[in-house]
Amino acid sequence: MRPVLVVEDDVTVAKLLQVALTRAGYEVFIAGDYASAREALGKDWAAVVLDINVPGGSGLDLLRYLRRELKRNTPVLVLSGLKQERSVAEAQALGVQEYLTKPFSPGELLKRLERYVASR
Amino acid sequence: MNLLLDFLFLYQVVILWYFALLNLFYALFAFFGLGMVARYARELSELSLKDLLEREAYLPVSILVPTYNEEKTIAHSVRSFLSLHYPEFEVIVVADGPKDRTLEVLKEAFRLVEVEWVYRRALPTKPVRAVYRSLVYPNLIVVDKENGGKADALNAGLNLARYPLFCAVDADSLLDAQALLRASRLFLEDDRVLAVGGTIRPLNGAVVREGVVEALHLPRGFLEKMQIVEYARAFFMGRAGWSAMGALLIISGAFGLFRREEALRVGGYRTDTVGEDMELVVRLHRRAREEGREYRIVYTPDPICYTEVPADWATLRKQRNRWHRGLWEVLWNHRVMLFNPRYGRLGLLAMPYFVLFEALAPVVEVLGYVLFPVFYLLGLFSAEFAFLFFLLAVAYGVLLSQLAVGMETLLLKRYPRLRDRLALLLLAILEGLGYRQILAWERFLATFQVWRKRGVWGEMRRKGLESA
Amino acid sequence: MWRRGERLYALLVVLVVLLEALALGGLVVAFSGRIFNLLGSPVAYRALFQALVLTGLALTFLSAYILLYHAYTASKERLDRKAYEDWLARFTEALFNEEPPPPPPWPRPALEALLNLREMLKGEFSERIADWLRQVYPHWIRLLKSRWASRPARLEALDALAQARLPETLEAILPYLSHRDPVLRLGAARAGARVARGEGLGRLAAALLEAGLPRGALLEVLLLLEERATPVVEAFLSRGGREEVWAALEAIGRLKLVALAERVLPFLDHPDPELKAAAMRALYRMRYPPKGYEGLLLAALKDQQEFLRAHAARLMALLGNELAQRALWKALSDPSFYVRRAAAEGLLLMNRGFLARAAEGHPDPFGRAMAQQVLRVAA
Repeated sequence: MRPVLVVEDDVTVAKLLQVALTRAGYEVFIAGDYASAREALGKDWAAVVLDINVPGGSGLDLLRYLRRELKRNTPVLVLSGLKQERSVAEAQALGVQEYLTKPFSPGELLKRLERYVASR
Repeated sequence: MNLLLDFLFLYQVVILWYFALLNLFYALFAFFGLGMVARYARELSELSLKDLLEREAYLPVSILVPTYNEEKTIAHSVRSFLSLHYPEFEVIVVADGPKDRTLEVLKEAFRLVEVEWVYRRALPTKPVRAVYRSLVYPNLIVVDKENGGKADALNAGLNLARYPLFCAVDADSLLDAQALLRASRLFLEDDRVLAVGGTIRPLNGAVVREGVVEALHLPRGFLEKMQIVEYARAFFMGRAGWSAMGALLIISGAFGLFRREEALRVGGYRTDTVGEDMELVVRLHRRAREEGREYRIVYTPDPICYTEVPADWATLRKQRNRWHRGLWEVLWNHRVMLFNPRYGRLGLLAMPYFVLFEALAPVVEVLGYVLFPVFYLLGLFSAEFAFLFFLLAVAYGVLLSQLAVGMETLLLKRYPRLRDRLALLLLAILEGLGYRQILAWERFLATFQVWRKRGVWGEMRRKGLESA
Repeated sequence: MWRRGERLYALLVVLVVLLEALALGGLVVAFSGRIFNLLGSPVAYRALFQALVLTGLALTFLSAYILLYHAYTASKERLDRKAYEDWLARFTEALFNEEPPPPPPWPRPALEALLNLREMLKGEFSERIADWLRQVYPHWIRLLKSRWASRPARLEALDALAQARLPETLEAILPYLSHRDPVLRLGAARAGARVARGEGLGRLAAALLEAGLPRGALLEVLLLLEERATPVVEAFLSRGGREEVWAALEAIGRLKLVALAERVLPFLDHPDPELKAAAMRALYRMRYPPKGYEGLLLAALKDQQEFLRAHAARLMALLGNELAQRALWKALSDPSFYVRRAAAEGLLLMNRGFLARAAEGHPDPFGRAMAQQVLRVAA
């Protein structure tokens, strides 16, 4: 079982991710806000699908926490509506594997996720 | 003797007309305000907000956070400001010569390093001792300066701000994640907009987790509950009404968004008044009108800011005293606008209203209560009549307050429990029976303290919110 | 952040307000009459009493209604949310199982779920949702074409079509770009931008040119077009007024439509300073060196307006030649803080070593300080 953490507050996207990932054989855990996501990051994950605008904080802060304080190199795929250059640049500076924007294709996301999870 | 009686009779007549006009105004605000909020609620496209957030059309914002002695809460507050959902903004914390460990707390929490910073000192302020940047958050700047008061701190922040818009907040303001988005879009959609104010709601009693209001519960304290009703009325029917009429004079210091260049042009905040937030807005109005420019200063009904309100009488009275003195100071400083057609609705409607019905109202009210027994003893009216009249006045006020509670019911984030709703409706009754009178007394006193206490914040500010 | 509110709510509020106005109006009349001794004392007294009773009634009605409304909306909200989640689950299952969806009619929560799915997905899944939406979109078109629909209903329909992004719905949207209500024009513009593609873009451009929208809105619209923006931007540049041209220039920069960079260059010579600045910003955003326009840039560096000088300094850096270096060196002595900063940042972009030299040896002390600062920040 490969556990994946999904940090997403939008009900629709969370549902899509849950269905898509479960069908692909992952164990999905959804955190809908900053506080619960931060707590969840303490556990071991095969990968993290991260939204940036979540209630209570920024996904980038969570990423910072994961990379700099927990010092883990868990594969992180950002899935965000933010299309601005600086958001992408900021995320990449913090070390994301992929930056995907919404609207997204679940098939595409799964393909990329597979690449990173498999290589671990 | 006859002369005295005639005079007293005339006085009664004047008071009656005063009351009638005052309530006509209340009715007007209620009408315009409710209309404005209802229209806003039905027309705002949430989809358009989402689009705005996600694309390159936005105006970057500098958030100015003046702070004094707030070592216990400052790290938390700043972190919540840094978490706002907005593509590009900076947070400038101005530590106004704090006597406690505010600065040290900031240095630790955000890994600050001192930098030699070159910037344009467009506004004169008390000396800046140091400028710090954060190693963790590139958009955080902290300024350490000599104590000069809130307005001075804001001016110092303004000097350092680099973005076209700035947002003045209180250090203990809790902003909604979309606060900047919802307020700044008004600037984007209309070039003429100079300033935007939002709705402030009391935070007391709310369940807050990581800077997000998770649930709204009525606080235990009677005073705190009263202020919930009071704020609802002040914003949804006061500010909304004035904004709809194009004569908004007040934007709260707890949250206001302004065009930086405009604020600099009028000289920033005045440091010799306690009403610096209102004073800036009035000056923006004035300058634009004097230059004959088309402009807008508007209010957005979205509840985007929460703040802790005083929970005990002493703090509340000091706060209201300060507000009232601030009001008098601003009105006095800009007395040239009074009844002056050059200033349009502001001069002919808003300023006179604020002088007669906001600033002077407590005097009239208190005198009324004092003279009541006098008139009765002189046999100028029957007790029954007076009692019914008083009851009507209270009932009318209750109606308006309940309308405001009704507006609050339309919010998505409202006090959810039905019994809380009932409590608020009942509190609206009590507001007119005791609460207002006590505050009217405090404002009455404040009217006579304006000269002595010019520009003085009083102990309340220094204590900060330790009581909270 | 607000519920839309039911008509009934508004109606009751109006009723209460009218009731109260009646009561107080009567009171004022009675009292005035009394004061001028036109009416007897008992009349005034009765008026007062009646006003009090009416107010009491108004209060009771209002309170009762607010409580009822609160209770009603609270449970409705819960039910709606549950319904939404159910429909979302059903549609998602059908989508992933490659089955047809549960057949229409679809209630409001179901339509919301479908629209959100369309909004969040792209590719094959999104097209399948689009097909499902094709079964229900006529409902919104009818609303838009109806004569009696309210403004909020029309706005909702426009938003729904905006999310549905079905090219065939453009026809119904375009007429709203000439509606007399500016709020509807704006809603239609945004919807049109999301919906239009192919040859629909030409029609959208034509309609936008007549719509008289403010520049901020026009820019929003162009950004919504994303990679489809080029035909509309071109139309704005050739046939648009000042607002349209400004929006087009801004959009070219933000969308990085480099193919149109050549059309931006001539605006460096434009008499209108706002447009000149917009052109400079666009070129800078695209990192497109304004070759052949060095003379104009040098002139701009001496312009009276501070913001033009600052933009010119930033743009100058892209030229990356001796000329630029010399010009920026000079600009470090500009009286304006912003121009000095732009010059220093420009030098940093071009040649760090040169900036270092400025930090050490530039004759102007402010220029030196700025150069030092920019170097420090970069470190």
